[in-house]
Amino acid sequence: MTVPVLQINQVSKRFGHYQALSDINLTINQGDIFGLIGENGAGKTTLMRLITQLSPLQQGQITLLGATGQHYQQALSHVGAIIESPAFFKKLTVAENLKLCAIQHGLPASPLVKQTLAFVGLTAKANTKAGHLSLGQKQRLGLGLAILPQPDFLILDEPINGLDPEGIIEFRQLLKQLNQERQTTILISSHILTELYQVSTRFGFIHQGRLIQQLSKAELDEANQAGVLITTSMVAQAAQILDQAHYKSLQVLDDQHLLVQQVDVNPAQINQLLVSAGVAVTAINQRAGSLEEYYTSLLKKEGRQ
Amino acid sequence: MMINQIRADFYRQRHTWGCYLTVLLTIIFSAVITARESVGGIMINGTDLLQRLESSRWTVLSGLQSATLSSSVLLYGYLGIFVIVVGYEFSQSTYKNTLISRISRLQFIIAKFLTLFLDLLRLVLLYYLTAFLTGKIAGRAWGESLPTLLGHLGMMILTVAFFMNVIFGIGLLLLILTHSTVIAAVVIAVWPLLISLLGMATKWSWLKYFDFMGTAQQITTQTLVTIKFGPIIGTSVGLIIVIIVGSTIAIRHQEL
Repeated sequence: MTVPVLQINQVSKRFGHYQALSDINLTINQGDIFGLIGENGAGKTTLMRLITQLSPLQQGQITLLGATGQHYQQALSHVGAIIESPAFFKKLTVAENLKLCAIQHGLPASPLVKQTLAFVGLTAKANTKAGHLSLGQKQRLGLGLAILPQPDFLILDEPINGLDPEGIIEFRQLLKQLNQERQTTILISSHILTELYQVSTRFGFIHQGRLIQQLSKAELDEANQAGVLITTSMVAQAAQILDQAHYKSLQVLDDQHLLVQQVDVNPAQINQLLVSAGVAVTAINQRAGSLEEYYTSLLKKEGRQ
Repeated sequence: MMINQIRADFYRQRHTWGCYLTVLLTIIFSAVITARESVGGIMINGTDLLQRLESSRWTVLSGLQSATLSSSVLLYGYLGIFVIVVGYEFSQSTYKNTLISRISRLQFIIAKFLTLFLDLLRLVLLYYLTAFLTGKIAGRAWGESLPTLLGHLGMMILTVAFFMNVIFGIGLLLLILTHSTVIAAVVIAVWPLLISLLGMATKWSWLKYFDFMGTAQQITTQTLVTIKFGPIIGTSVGLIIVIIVGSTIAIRHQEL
């Protein structure tokens, strides 16, 4: 059963004459890693600020963990967030910042600080002043502060900005770990779409203050024809063999190409299966779904409308 | 949540060297002015007492009274505490972490106000205790019976801390309205002088209700007639309510 963590209904936001958000409707379910995609000024941060009440709601309704109105503040205690940039006291050490966070939430500091330091990989930097950390380490500390109270819902606004490639990979692993081990639902925005594709299970595209599309990763992959592309002169036979072997979503593209629209299959196994059945395979390639391509084509469509 | 916030603020202060420096400066300042029998500060109504202090032999009581006359100087010294408790939250945007939690805007403001009051109370306590001990170490007479003197001491500590906190409260409201620590700190620093100068220039009698440090000096040096005490305290309490409610409304409607 899907349990909604966040429901946004008809939310609009205006700054003077500027319409920042228009009639946003969005639902994020428990366990989702929801990637929010949009160009600068599209309204991603504004939406996140509305959810966290850092910006007053003007129109519409937001339900967080089943709570609205007076109970919303209570629900916020189950949310961790990094909005715009991680905030911490620069003159306190990493461990002191985390302990301060534990005190603020009325939580026992001793086990949580240690666990969080280990989780975000900052144990070695525990006694370093936060102001002396590298950009990547600051992002980790920001994440540590957000996850220390063990939130059910994590909101991350551009958390991988400025991270080096190694840092990005580590950050991705941290998010997946949080989602899988602690069942934390995550709303994340990023300009690095390849990274967002790697980590997210659902996507929302926001353009000029409007949420123009929401779709799951499977839907995105289908739209992008992601999967394993087989080149062979015996397409019909290959399709029959794979069908009998219970491969799903087989698509004959032309008389030379067959697409297995599944991203979690092993091309080597397919190759072995076909060759052993006497099908000559000319080429076999893993085709990744490109979020950039999909996003660009979506924007072009929007531009035409 | 409010208590947690106050505990967190004190934890942060325990790990900030500026707080220890403030404590040290308080002790040094108090000890020096009491030992050297020197008085300094911004005052309008304290001149009579000042003349009395200069012409008479100093006792422990007169040491405490002179400490009160110099207490306006403490405002400058304690600006650092204001910056640490409230200013850093806004300059380093850490209020975002705090407000995305169970604490309400009203609880956040009250917690900050109470933290400032508790800080001022313990610093002013230290200031007067140093003056008290310095006077005694210097071999001076009590100047009053010891129980009466201790009563005066308690009254002085509470009064100076309370009125100083009203000025800090004005700073808190300004900081929330403007998000500028500089504006808030400047207003706190110049408030006694500003009110004094305005009072001299305009002769507006109602300004005395906003001369918080002057009132503290008059109450603690027993020059303020008891009958005037009520309206002045009432104005200050009313102003505190306006500060808390105003700050809460402002922060609720702001883009943070």
